[in-house]
Amino acid sequence: MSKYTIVIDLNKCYGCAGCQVACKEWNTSGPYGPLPDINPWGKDQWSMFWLKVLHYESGKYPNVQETSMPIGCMHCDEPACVKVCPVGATYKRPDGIVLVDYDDCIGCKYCINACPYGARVFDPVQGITKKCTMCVDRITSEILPEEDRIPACVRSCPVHARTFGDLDDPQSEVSYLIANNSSFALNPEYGTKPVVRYLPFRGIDTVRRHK
Amino acid sequence: MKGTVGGTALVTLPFFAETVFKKSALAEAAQDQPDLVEYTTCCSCIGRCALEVHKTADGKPRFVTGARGAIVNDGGVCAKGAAGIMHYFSPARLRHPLIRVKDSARGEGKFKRLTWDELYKLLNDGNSDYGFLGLKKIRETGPWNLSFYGGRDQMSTLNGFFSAMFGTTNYGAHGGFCSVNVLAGGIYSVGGSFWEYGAQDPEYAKYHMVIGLAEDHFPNMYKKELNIIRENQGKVVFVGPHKMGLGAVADEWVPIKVGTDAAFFLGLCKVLFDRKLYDEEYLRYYTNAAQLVIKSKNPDGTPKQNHGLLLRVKNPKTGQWVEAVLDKKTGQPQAFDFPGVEPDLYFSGQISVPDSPKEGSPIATYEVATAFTLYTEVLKDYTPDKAEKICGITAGDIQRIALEMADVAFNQAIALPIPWTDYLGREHKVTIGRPVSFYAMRGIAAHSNGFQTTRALHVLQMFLGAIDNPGSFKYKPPFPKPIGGSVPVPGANQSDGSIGGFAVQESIHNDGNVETQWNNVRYPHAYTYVQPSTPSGLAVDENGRPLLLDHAYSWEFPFSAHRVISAIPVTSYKEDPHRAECHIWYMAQMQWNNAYNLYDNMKFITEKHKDGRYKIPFIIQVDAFYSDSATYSDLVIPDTTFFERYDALSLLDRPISKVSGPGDCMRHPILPVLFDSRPWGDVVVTLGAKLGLPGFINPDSSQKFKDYGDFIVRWEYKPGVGLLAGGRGDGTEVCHASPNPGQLKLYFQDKVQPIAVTNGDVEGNKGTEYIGNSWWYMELPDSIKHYRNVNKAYLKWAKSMKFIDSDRPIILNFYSEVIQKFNLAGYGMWQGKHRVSGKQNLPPNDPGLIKRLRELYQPLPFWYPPMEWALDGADPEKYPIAVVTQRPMWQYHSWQHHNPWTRALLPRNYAYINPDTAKKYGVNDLDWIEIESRYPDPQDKPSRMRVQIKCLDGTRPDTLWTWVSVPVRPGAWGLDPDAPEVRKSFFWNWLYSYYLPKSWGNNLLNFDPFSGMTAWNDLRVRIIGKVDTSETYPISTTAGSLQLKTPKVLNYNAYKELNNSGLHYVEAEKQ
Repeated sequence: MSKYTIVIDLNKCYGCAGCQVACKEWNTSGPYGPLPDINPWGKDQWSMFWLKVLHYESGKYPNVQETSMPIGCMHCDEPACVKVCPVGATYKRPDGIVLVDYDDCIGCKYCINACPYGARVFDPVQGITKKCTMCVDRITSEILPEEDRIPACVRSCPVHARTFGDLDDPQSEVSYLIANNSSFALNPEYGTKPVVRYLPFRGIDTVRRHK
Repeated sequence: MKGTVGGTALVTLPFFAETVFKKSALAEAAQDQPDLVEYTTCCSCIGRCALEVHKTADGKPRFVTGARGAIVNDGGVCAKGAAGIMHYFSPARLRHPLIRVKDSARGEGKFKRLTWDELYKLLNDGNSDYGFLGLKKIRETGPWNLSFYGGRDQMSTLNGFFSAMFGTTNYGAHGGFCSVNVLAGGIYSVGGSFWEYGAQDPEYAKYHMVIGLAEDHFPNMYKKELNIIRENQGKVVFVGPHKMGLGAVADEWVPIKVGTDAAFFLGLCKVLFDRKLYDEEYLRYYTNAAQLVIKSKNPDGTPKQNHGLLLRVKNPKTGQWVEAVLDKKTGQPQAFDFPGVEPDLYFSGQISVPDSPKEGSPIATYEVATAFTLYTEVLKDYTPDKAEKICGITAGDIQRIALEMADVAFNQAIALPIPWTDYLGREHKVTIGRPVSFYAMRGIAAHSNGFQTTRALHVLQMFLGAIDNPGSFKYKPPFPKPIGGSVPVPGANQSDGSIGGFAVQESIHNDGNVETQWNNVRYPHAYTYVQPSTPSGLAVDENGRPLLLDHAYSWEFPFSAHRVISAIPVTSYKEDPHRAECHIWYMAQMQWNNAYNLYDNMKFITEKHKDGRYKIPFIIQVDAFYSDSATYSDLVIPDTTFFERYDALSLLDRPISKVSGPGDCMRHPILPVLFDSRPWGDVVVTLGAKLGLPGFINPDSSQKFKDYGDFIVRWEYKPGVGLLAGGRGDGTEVCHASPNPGQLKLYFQDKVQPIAVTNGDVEGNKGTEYIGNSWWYMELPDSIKHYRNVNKAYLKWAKSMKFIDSDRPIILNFYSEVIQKFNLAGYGMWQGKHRVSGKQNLPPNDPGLIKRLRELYQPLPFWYPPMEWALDGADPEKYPIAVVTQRPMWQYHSWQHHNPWTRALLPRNYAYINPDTAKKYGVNDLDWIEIESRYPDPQDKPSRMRVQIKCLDGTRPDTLWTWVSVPVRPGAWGLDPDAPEVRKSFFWNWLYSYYLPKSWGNNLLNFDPFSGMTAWNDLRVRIIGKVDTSETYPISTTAGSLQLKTPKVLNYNAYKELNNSGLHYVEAEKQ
């Protein structure tokens, strides 16, 4: 058995969104694509992304922290989306990946409402819901070179802030990262048992300054 | 498809008979087969990441990611690079050459299609309908009347060579409006700079300070290396008025007041100085801090003719007349480079030496002090308390930071078991490293005090002994280089029409007399990027007026190392010093975000001369896209994207070298050329041949280079030196060896191959080169990796590689005698001669120029307020808010607005303001506000703008900032004229002042007085208050749009027909 996850190190992330666009460009031509763009050159553009980098600020000048937070599907152990799907189109695979069967999806959007992470996106062209597949086509590929059998976001991150691996393998890099750092899951209080983990920002400076 | 890349008209015809991509059924069937993979270099910004491009069986781009193991990005790619597919397929791409409809006015955006044959004919012959003389006639009557500038540093070597062979002295690239202060200040101080010229050594760095950095020169590599430093428990400190961007992941933020960085650096120096926490050995031997400066003033404080010049003596061994130090061993003056000399860092007193190197020269007594001693006086003005008042960082923080740096440099020094020998023959058993490093860019560069600020930063590095050793700032080969080169001058053209210039040699006597000699030189010795070392080397006429169109190398901007691109619109308009018959702008947006003042630039190019022609008769825009500026051009030449063309990122220009060795990279056509566009490199080699330019034709006048790829392999800058340094000769030689016809194959092999290097003048191991995946890098042997400016073995090797002409040491200019020569000139005391008149080189007549030579040309760096902030200018009392820009990670200039995958990340910008400041002005988050600068708008009122604010605590309270280059001219870039880029986004280009306040002179340009760098960040505004609007103001007039209607839905799938992805226009245009 496997339990695939991605560990995201916020100590390294600058928020460049390389992961966000790499995800889109890989998957739009993949089996779970396309990821459409509506009014791509127009006034009210809408573009589908399965992974988004959010930027927020905390603190008061000059003791401020700017944080970039890549958020996508958490591939939860108790996925709220799976529970609410009336037709069973959304399912969790034995390896932990949460997927949508496009043939069964009726586009009711219950799952979009249920997901606490905003990870699911409605495709207005196809009338179905799409989401991160953890690049299941890449990680199970028999064509790609072995080192490339990782999600596109992990493959492309310029600062290697993202690590893909199997939590069921105690020797894996992700198991090590989680065990040896103060890792956290996002909003565990929603009870969905998210599998994707974050490592916090670990700045060494604690100088507080008067204005 | 590769066969269609050639630049001649013949090959295009069969190309258009087919569709670009084969029927996709083939591709769909091949979905379970591996994609095709090719490697090239990204050009979505200037970061030069190596790309791995996956293509479908029919040749469509499927996935763009980073090439693993690449020295720049090691497999990574940012949003811009990953969105490359839509860069290529953009509807904003120019489809064919365009000529302005002759009865329409510039700016109306009315164009008609030209064929390439018609285009070449027009370029050659001109057209009286447009008042365009044609390049042939321009070349015959005054080639310098062609101005050719690039807005980015791409193709600079080729474009520069074309200009040189054409015979125009008016060539340059974008450095003048980018960060040339940092480059020039670095070259004049340490013979190198940051970015392509030098950087931190991530392997050993323990403390790293990021200062005012823009997000474009190697953004991915830089982020990766900052993380390496932090992973190694090093500290990263970010200095700047706002924290977002690279500051986000820093360990400490130093929220400095805009334009005051020099005071901060000098405050740190003062702390180090007072506590004797400086590297005395380093300062004595590797900088000129211990060299002796002559003190010779009149009673009224004005300088005598030898004041501030360095004392010189004969080196008893070489016989050369060189700078002197006081030898502690003998108590006597001695040549700085005499073996065994032990310089005294602190000497001050009288010394008796001969006046000149001539036999029997009389001996005189001079009052001298070491440069280091003189700096004691300057630093008195920068005690932490005094520095705090200027830069807004508390005295306590200044002291703490200085002590942290000193602790790392001296208590945590690195010692590597690498023996090396310095220029004096002193053998060092170990290589000592001072693991404190810096990286600086636009934040300190874009000010009229940026040159001196950069000098101050380098002096701080010298205090720490932290230049080119393990963990410190290190040069990237071919740097370090001494200043020099010969300025080109109009009228000095060679018999074949190519440019010429003159080389200066001078001998400075201790009494201040100067012997000056000139030799006429030709390309490549005469080139457009040089660093004059004396007023006698300026490109000025006998009256001190500039000879070059951009006023480079004149009294106005003597150290304009990358020329002065921002001056071209205004000097051309004023015909000062001569008319520009034709402007060629390559990848520049001079009628948009590159305009120093947009109102003025539009006026300059739409006003007519009394001869009925436009003041600037013909404007050519070269670009891949229908950009904001294209509409104001007469002729638009469609380039391809980087996926479709050859390119070389060369050691001659802007390479990807690392601190541990030289590197370069290239591009080649990996996707088919779309539309009727052509790679600009191919157009240049063809145009050069059609014009019959030397260097572009064979002896029988036929075209010499088939295309730019052919040029890259065969062209030599000088014998053995070409565009690409790797795999030369038989493939095992580098940098300086004969061209290798198989060179490109080595670059584009699909794996990186290590090859033992066989050439180079170094003992033992000659190093290893790594070549493939479109890049090349050579790891230097350990013995020549450190202290390279004074490392005997390195200097010998670098000379053999033709990086430098001489293996003389490059002693760091703690003290700049070059600047002092100009200071003396400001008092009429410089005794050097002018090359034409042979008389004493007269100072400029302009009192404004004299004032700055006297006040700002100080040989030891100091802080002065940005010139624009004078009481009669943007006085901070009246204009309390400093205004700056920052480059977003997701966009590079305008190149991402036409790309839906990146415009989705940043469709508009806001003016970021500290919440307390907003409160003070009674405005709230997301309000629209009106701001005002001092510079007059076309109605002669202070220019006003409307912008929407967002409150952000990571912003200094006296600062307003935004993301740079987000707005789009209505109708440009294929965007809806009501798009947020057009209606909500803004830039400050409506507010900048072209001229300095009157107190600094009459109509003098508001550029750095040393380098000519545009002082973007000197802008100050006052906030008028809230306005009731939902749109920015001003919005430019509409550009006539030439683009097809863009699709409402984009559903890209590389394995499907383009028509099914919404990209119907790509193939439709082919039919």
